[in-house]
This record gives sequence, structure tokens and C-alpha cells, in this order.
Amino acid sequence: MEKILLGLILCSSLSFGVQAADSATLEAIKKSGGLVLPYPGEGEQWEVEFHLRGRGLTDDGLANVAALKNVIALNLRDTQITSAGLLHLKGLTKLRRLHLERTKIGDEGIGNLVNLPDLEYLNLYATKITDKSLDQLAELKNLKQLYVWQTDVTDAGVARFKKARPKVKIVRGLDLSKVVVIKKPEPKPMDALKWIAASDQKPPKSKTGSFTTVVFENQSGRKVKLYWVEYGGGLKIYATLNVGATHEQNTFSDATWLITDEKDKPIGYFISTAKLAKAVIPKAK
Amino acid sequence: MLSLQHSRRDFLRSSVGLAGLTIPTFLKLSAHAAPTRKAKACIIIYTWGGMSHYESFDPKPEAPAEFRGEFKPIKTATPGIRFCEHLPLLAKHSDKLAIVRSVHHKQGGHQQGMYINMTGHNPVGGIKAKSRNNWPSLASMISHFHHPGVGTPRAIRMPYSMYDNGTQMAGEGAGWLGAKHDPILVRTPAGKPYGGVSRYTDRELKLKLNLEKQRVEGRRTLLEQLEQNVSRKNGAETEYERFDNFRRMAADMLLGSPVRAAYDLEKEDPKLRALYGDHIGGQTLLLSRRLVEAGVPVVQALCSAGDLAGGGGDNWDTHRGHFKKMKDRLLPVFDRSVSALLTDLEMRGMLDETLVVFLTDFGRTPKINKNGGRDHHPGVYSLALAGGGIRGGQIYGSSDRKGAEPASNACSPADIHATVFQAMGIDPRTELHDVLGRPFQICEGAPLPLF
Repeated sequence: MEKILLGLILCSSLSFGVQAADSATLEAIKKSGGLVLPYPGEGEQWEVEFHLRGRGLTDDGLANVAALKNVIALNLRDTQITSAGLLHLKGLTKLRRLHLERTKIGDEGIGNLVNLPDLEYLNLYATKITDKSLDQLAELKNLKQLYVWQTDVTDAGVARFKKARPKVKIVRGLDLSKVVVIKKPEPKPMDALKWIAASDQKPPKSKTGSFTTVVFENQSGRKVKLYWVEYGGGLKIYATLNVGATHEQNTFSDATWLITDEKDKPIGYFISTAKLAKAVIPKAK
Repeated sequence: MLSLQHSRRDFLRSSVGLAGLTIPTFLKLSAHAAPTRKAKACIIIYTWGGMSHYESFDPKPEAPAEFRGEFKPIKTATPGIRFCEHLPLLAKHSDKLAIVRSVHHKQGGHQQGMYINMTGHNPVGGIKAKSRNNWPSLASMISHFHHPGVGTPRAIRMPYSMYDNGTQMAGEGAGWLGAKHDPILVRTPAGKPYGGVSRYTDRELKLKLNLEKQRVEGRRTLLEQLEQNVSRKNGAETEYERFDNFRRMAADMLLGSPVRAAYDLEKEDPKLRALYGDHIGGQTLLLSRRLVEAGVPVVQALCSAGDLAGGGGDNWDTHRGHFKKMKDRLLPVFDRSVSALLTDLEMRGMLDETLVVFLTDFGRTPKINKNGGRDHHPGVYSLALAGGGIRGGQIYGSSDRKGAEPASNACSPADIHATVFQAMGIDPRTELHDVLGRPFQICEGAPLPLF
């Protein structure tokens, strides 16, 4: 398969009337799980991605990308590269978009990027970079977007960067530690639904009514299954409740909820009402 | 991770392995498209039932009381743009949104309104959900131009199909493009469900995501033997092929692709999950982001209950008790989850390559009816786009003072589609072929100047 793909890339670049890239280089990139796509526009320009299938890529593997030249966009998200590997990017002077997020890189390698004249987009989120990197990156003349969520940059560092480069969009993202999980409101008083034990008569079909919620509570002392009796009389499983478990179920009023044992033998049923209600499955006799 | 990849690759060598046949299509495409950068993925958010434009993106505070309704407008992050007061979180993201306030069409029924918004084409005659004569959905058409490689589905839709009183609606499938372009239906594995009926009857859902790899492979080999005995009639897609395409996609998903890991929401930071809200609406949009991150090119997320049955459930068909339902149940989920999605995409640096488009059946009637509701109104309504090269903080078009019809820059669902296609680097005039080889131009609209 890889050979077919490679062949196609070569043919198609020829159809553009430009020289094909070195096939050994392409082969090596493919082999490490990289995807090479022609970048839209004139001539032989490439977009190289490792973030989906090439996450095993290491610093050495980057040498192949460096050999390709004319790389416009490079995605290294989630790969194994480190600061040392960034040395290979130094010569990719056509680079406009660079994804380094979620890698092990830190401040040490950033110096290799400051001479990329066309770099517009740089993603560094979830890396170890600090304000030191920001100070260096302020030198990137064409930078437009910089992503530094979940890094060690500080307010002071970002302020300094913004002052030096007011037109660059620097995205720090949310501090998730400050996200407050909203507690659920106190439950409203509940009606108790009537338990109708199973008999020879079939449970009635559900009718459609208004929106409501039923909280089932399994006090039967065994594992039970919860079925909705469909409008046509068919059964549809919604939940299995372990001993002592509760289950909150949205439903309409006038719906029939059948309780069976694990082997689907009916034990009894409830019919929902318009009010928020509790349905206690009683102890087996 | 690595071991999974290897086994997948070995498995591909022995069987399908056609994913590589994609570069020429890509090249042909890029030759057509403008040389600007294109979005890599698209998330379509759909509010089933018809979202009121008054109580969302086009409040009319100056209209008489029987038109403007109970809610007040609020300021957004963009001077001059106002939203409904019950979208306070989304209001902070107006700088990312392009709001189109002048969309209109002539389809007053849910099925027809959904169909024209999803496919960009007027329904002709009676349409049925499973029919291969239908126009392909937007998700299917976009996915046709993407070849993410074996192991990654081209398009996914969540968390269930749209129904009206028990009947599945047409417009979500690939229609004449053939079953291999049908978006795969996936049920969101977490979150409090929407109130009302949400049907999960589609056969795709019978797929158990925890099937063991060996079993899947074994079954696949068996089916491939079978395949050799089935001949094709008149070049048309046989029942077997339809099943085969589905089986192939399902197996691909199971065999250790990044998509499978994305499906596991338990791997996500609990704080981030909380940001989206503990609701199937929020968790579906969170899953959308994870799937796009894993390489799925198109995701369609339904932001409401799946069936309009009874009218009492959490769908947007608010003929009665409109204001209470909007305020208590519908707008809070929409507001929180869509805002979280925009925040999340932006801080990961994904928003400029991910187009988010919001669609609905139609708007609601200007005058509040005697049941305190608003009825169907395709005369004018609002849609929105964000990311993917769309310039945020803008309003395109306007409705008249009562919100009854377009006042400026009237446009159609087809124009919205053309805009989406352009953002995705697809020429809206591209011709695609059905399974019999007949050509169809994918879109009759013209892109709106939102870039």
C-alpha cells in the first residue's frame, strides 16, 4: 500500500511539471508513519503530518523532513521529539505552520526556530516552554498566531511578549484548575410511583404524555433489568440495576416501565406520572 | 498505541488497503480551489425542530410585545452585535462567529426544512430516510473529498438520528452518493440525555465498540470469501456492497485507530468535561472535538432530542410554552456546549482549521401564538459559522423589524452550503457522480463573503 501511495505522489508531482522530491526521502517519511501532501499553491510544496499515524517519530526521524525542503506546514503533535530534534527544523525556511504541541520540547530548542522568516503559526501548547521561549519567539517577524496553553509561561512573560509584538495573537487558554464544577440543585420532592407486580396480564403499552423524570431504586435484593414498553408494545432495554442501585430516567408521563430479573422474567412494572417521581423496586417475596 | 498501529497495518496489507488511492483527487481539488488555506475538518451542529431566531441570534427588542417575546437582548464581545439574554456564554465568543440573519426558504415542514438545510436542495416528491434517490447530506458531500486513511471514518454523526413521531427523516444519509459515504452513527457514551424520545434503532448502533479484534478479523475474512461469489448487477450498488461498506467502516473503527481512543471520553480531563456540561449535548460536542483531533474530517452533532414525538421533549419545536422551554432546557445546554467547543478548539490552536457551522430547520413565527409558542417560519431565520477561515464578529444580512422576512442580503441554505464548501476548499460547482455514474452539481448556491 505504501508503495502505491508513494507512486501516486510521484506521478502527481510530475503532472505539476516540477521535479519530484527525492523518493528515498519520501519513502523514509512514509515508513515512520508520516503523511506527505502537496500544499495548495504553485510548485512543489509540502505539508507533512505525523500527528495521526506517526506518533512514534523521534528526533532522528526529523532529518528526513529536513531533507525534503519546501515544507510549508509541519505537524509534530504527540510525537516523541525533544528539544534536540528542533535543530533539524532550522533549514526549513519556507515553514509557515508548525505544530509542536504535546511534545517533550522545552526552551532549549526554541532558538532553532527564530530564523524561520515565514513562520506564521506556532503551536506550543502542553510543552515545557517558559517565558524564555517567549522572549526569543518575539523575534519571529511574520508570526501571527502563537499557542501556549498549559505551558510554564507567566503573566509577566506574556505581557512582555504582547508589548514587543502587539499584533500577534497569543492564546493562553483557560486555567482548568479554576473551572468550577457546578453542583446539581437540590432534588425536588418526589412522588412515589405505584408498584404493580407481574401477573398473567401483559403490562399496558406506553402512551405519550408530558416530559418527566423517574428515579428507579432497586431494593429487590437482586440484579434487575429496566425495559420501556414501547408504544407498539415491544420492549426496549434502558438499564440494568445492580442491588441497591438507583437510575435516573427521563421519560414521558403514562409510560410503562417494566422490571425483569436478569433472565428477562417480568417482576412488575411502574407507570410514570407527570410529576418527578421515585420508583422503588420492592424486595422479592 | 504502537502495537495497535502495527496490527492494524498488518491487517490492512492482507485486505483492503485502498486508502492510498486518494492523492489524485486531492490534487484535482486543490487545482480548482483558491490557493488560500482551507479548513481540514468541519463540525456541523444541528438543532432539530427549528430554533427561534428571536430567542437566539436575532433579538427584536424594538418590535411590539407580541412579536419580541419575553427575553431581552444582551451585549456581546462585539460592539453592535446583540444576542438573546439566555446565550450569555456564547455572547463572549461573538468575535469568532459570523451570524447570518437573512437565510430563508419555502419549506414549512420539519422533514422538508431539515432536508433543505442538510442537503442544500429542495425535496422533490415524497422523500424517505433510506432512499438512495435523496440528495447527500452536507456531511456526506464534504466527506467525499476527504480520505483520512483506513482506520478513520470519513464522517460521523451523533448521538442519534432525527425522527418525527417515530418516522426517521431523510437528509442525514449519503443518498445517491452510495452507502460508503453514509456518515457513521455513533452514540455519545456519556452525559444526561435530552428529555423526550431519542431513538437508537439504527443498525449501525448494534455495532459494539468493545468487540474483540480477532473476532472482527475472523468475520471479515469470512465475508471476503463471500464477496467473491457476489456479482454486481448493472453497475449498481448491491445490497451486499451496502452492508460491506458499513462493515468495513465498522471494522476500521475497531482496530485500534486513534478514533477509537477518541471515543473514550473517560480519558478527557474531568474539568474540561465539566466545561462542556454534564449533558449529552455538551459531551457530544466534546466528542466532536476529540474525533476531529483524531483525524475524522466531518462530524455532525444533533443538539436536541431525536424525536419530535409528543412535542414535550427537548427539541426546538416550541409550539407551546416556548419561553419556559427555551430558557430552562434548550438554550442553557446549547449555550454552554457550543461555547465550550469554541473555547476548546481555540486554545488547542484548532479553530482556524476547523469549520463550525450551525444549522436548523427554520425560524419561528413572528407573532406569539395563543399557546405561548411560536410556530414554523421558513420566511427568515439565523444561522452561524465559526472557525475555518471565517471572519468572526460579523453579521451578514438582516431581517425586517418584525423578524418576518429578509430585509437585506437575503440568502438560501444553498448559499450557506456554498460557503461551507469554499471554506473546506471544495468548489461548490463540483460535479459528483451517483452509483450509476450520473453527474450532479453538488451546490447551486453562491458563497457568502464571510472570509
